[in-house]
Amino acid sequence: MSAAALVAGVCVCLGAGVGSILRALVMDGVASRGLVGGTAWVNVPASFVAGLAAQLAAGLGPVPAAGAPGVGFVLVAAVLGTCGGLSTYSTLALDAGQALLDARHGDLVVPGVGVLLGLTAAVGGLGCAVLLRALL
Amino acid sequence: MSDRQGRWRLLLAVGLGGVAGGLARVVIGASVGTVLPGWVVLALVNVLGSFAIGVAVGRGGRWAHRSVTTGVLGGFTTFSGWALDVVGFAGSAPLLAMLLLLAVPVACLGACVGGLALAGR
Repeated sequence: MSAAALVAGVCVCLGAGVGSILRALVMDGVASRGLVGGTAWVNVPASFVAGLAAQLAAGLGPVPAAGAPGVGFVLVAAVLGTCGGLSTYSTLALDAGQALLDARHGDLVVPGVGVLLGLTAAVGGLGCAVLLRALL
Repeated sequence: MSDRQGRWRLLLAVGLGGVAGGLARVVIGASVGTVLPGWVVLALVNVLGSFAIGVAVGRGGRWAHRSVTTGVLGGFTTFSGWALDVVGFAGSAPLLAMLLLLAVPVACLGACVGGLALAGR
């Protein structure tokens, strides 16, 4: 296993832990305020930041096959790992699944819109990164 | 134990669960990723995680503890990775992007409903 792959794996694991804690805090805050949106509150910002980081990473150049990865690679891996942990598909599916089984078909709109907003956010993140790289 | 201590312990449990979920995702990616493309592996992970959360919540009790649902399964699955796959393929392979866009959410929903039904909800 290359050093880069090991670093990426560690970042995914630790990022998943940190992201899960952040997700729990955000979802608790959303629930305590009675806000609608469900997992969109974490999936949308996570997708935006992931898009931003992924596009910025493209500007770092190829990862060396041997030797330690650079600081930039580690930072991007950490950010992408945390975004992966912050966002969730299982809870999104659970919200929609329970709404479907309870015949609360109107409640399917929120997860559906959340999916679309998340994808839009990813595009937005990619676009912002392109702009940043052009400006800097 | 005070409420504050209990809350911190719960967050720690969620975090450790998230690490476990992330580790499972890495192990699956490393083992199956040599024969399947990354986007397929991620789609399978999300579907499997959605099924598992359906089973966990359907069974209730300690299976529905937040360290499992929010932690392990929340950390195991990822929306942002899927979103990057869809957006990434939009330009180079639009049909594949469309497939991911439509099939993965439907498959995850179906898997979750199946898990809830299997658990006797």
